[in-house]
Amino acid sequence: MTTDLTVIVTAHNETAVCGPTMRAADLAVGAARARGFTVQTVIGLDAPLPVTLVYFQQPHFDHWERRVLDERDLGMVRNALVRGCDSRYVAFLDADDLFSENWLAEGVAALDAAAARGEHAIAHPELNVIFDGESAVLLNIDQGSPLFTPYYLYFRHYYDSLKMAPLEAHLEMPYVPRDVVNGLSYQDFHFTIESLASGWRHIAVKDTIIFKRRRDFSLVTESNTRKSVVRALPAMAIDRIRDLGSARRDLGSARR
Amino acid sequence: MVTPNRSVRKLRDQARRRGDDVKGRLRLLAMSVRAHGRHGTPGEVVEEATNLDPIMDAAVARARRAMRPAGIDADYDLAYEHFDVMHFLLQARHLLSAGSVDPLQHFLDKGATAKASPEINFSMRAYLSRYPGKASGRGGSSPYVDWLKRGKDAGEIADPAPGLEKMAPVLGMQPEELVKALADTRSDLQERLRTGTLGAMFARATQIEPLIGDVWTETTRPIIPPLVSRNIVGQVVAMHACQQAAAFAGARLVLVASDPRWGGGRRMEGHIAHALTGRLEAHDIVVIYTDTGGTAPPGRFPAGVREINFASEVTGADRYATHRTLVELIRSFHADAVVNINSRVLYEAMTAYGPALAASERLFLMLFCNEQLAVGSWVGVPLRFFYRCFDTVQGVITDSAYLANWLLERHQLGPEQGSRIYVLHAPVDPHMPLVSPPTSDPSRRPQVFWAGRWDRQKRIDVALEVARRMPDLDFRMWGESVLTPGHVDESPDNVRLEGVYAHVSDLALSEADVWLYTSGWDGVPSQLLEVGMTGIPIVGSLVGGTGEVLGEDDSWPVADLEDPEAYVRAIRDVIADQTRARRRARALRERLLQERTAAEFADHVAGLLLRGAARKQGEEDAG
Repeated sequence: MTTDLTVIVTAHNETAVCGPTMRAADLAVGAARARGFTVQTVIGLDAPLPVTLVYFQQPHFDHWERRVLDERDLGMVRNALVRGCDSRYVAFLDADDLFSENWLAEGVAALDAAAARGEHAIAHPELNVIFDGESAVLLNIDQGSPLFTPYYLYFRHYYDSLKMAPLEAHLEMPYVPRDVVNGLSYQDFHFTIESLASGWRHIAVKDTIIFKRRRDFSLVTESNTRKSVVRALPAMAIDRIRDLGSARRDLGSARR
Repeated sequence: MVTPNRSVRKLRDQARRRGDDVKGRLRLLAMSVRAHGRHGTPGEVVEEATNLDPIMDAAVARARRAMRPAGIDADYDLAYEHFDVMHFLLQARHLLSAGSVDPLQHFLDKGATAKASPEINFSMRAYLSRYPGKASGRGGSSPYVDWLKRGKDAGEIADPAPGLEKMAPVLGMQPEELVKALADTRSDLQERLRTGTLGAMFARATQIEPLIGDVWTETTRPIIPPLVSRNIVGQVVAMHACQQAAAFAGARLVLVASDPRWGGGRRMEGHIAHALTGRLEAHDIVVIYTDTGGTAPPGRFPAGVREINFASEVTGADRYATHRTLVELIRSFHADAVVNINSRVLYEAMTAYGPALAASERLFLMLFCNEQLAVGSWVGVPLRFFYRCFDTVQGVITDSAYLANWLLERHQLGPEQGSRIYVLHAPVDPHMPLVSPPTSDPSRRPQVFWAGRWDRQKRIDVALEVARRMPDLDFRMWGESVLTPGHVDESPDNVRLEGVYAHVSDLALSEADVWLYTSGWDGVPSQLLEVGMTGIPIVGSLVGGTGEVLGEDDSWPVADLEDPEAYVRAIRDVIADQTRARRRARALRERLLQERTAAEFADHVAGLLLRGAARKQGEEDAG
């Protein structure tokens, strides 16, 4: 692998809202390159609306590779795009969110440091800042924090999907398909539980932020969200939950 | 943790008290740390540059200039040492455009009603909810001042995190340890947001997307998992408590029951548990009480069955949060089967989470009967929830063929769908002895026994009317009033109210000449199965599934349950020839022994509920 990091922006129906997103992404990519990391930049367009396609075909995005897919499922899009990566790490960005300028550089550095310590790690920004339709500042809890309890994972995810993970993690634990009809969702939440059970260590990278835009919030959306759950996973069994997160993955070991 | 800024601030505050001679030196000190937020004395406030917009920095400096000098009010001075002007103004944004307002005085004047917090780790609302008596500060001072003076050192918790004391044990901490961990986390975050790289990144992003800047206010109340909200904390804590009650062990069968259910005897859930203990260990069975807490009467379940008082653990919780908690608890057992026995909470949860639950669980509904309201209309679990859940669940179990057929007809189900409706014939206890009839004595008044809940279903009014029409007989009635206490005063002189009872076998059965049963609607009642084994002649209403116990040849079923005279005629028939009546009643016992064996019941239950169990041929499924 000659590339340190692949940054993947995914879009479906977004256009103008992506302006700040892409500007922030370019700055973060620039900062990572300035630190000496090689970065591949990809825009994944899943079943894009014509306007979205036109938007991202603008010349000023020519320094991004564009890939058009027809998965109609964010997890499946990410899986497909990850399979085409040849980098050590992968970071995702949704088309309406923003990175802090230092996220990519500090994320790669943190994962490298973890690897040097012999840890298989998955990195999360320290803060999730929710803006626009809602406002909130949410702290991402490092797995090693005294505030981490696996019982929380029955009800809430500790992290957002905009993480940075080794390519290996994504290849070993591809996102499961959404099953909206049956109320089985939260692909990234599922990924976190599976990875914890497999001994991956989730770390929060100090001084980094993702900014999550909330658009068109409604109570209906909230209500529907509340009725979805993660698939039942063996790691969440009553006799295993206490140990979730305590497993350590040996260097070079395959998952399970 | 004492930060450098706070050290400087304290020095300065102390110096204010010493006089002007040190002010010059302090000004120099202030200049040297101008990158850090701190307070200054009026008139010499240095505008401190932070990661927020310069307009905000200027507003903070302006507010500081409006603050009172030291030495006038000791309470004010104490609060001043801890009061965080920027933190306060980010919340009380209306003050930013209110001209020259002293923010601390504004806060103190609000007393217990202050909403904006004076420092990031103090919440007036959280403090007063824990210590309501502190709302009136001593001598009219703010509760915050009282907390600073005494409460803080006394260990009084004023941390804003919801459910802190409840969550601490889940995290393996003492509450005070959690308070410290949260305070350290918040203070560190606040510091780095204001003047460190974290805040610089925030500010940089604000340049790209100005809407982000509007979130600065939220930095005054960062959400720190797992203490996200009262609901979430409640869910996590309830989940942990329920799993602890289950000894953190999985189960093969989960019975989700509304409550421990009134009355003695095994009832259907007890029958199921006992039936399976030959095939699995008692501790493989878990019973979750969802609607009302408690424990089952002794003997209902085999020793070792785990009972979980879910209802008590979620008291006061949001109903949607309760549904989710129950779903997650059920799924965590990874059981062979989950049986809903009248759990309203689970039925409601299934309307939202049914498909998700069914994706991993084999769900069964145990249905008994509908019920008639006082106005005459009918409601009940079969009416309300069968159609809502039928497509989702593995099967529906009834205790009577009557209800199974009613469901088939009402919902016009074909053979394929009907094959998922199963009738479980509750077994009788072959060890229950035949009861000897009362001694033949012409001077003795015959006794009619009646027992049950004193509620609308049991038609006390009919039983009392029968008694009124038979003054030559004594009626002995057991049971406690649940819904209709009024009938207690209506009993005629020949009725003796015996009070509560635990089980039919506790009664003086050898004194009974007739057993009267007057239920207005029913499945297959345990009481009839138990009394049927005693050899006591039964006169009973023919409703729902009672006809599957009471046969024309071995008992006295009453078709017109509204007609007291029909019961009177039947009782007279029994009394008229007790020898014949006893013979007929013994035939009922024999039939029940043949039709309702524990072995067949166990085979049926195991085949239905346990994964991999061979389904018994010829089981009596309604479909």
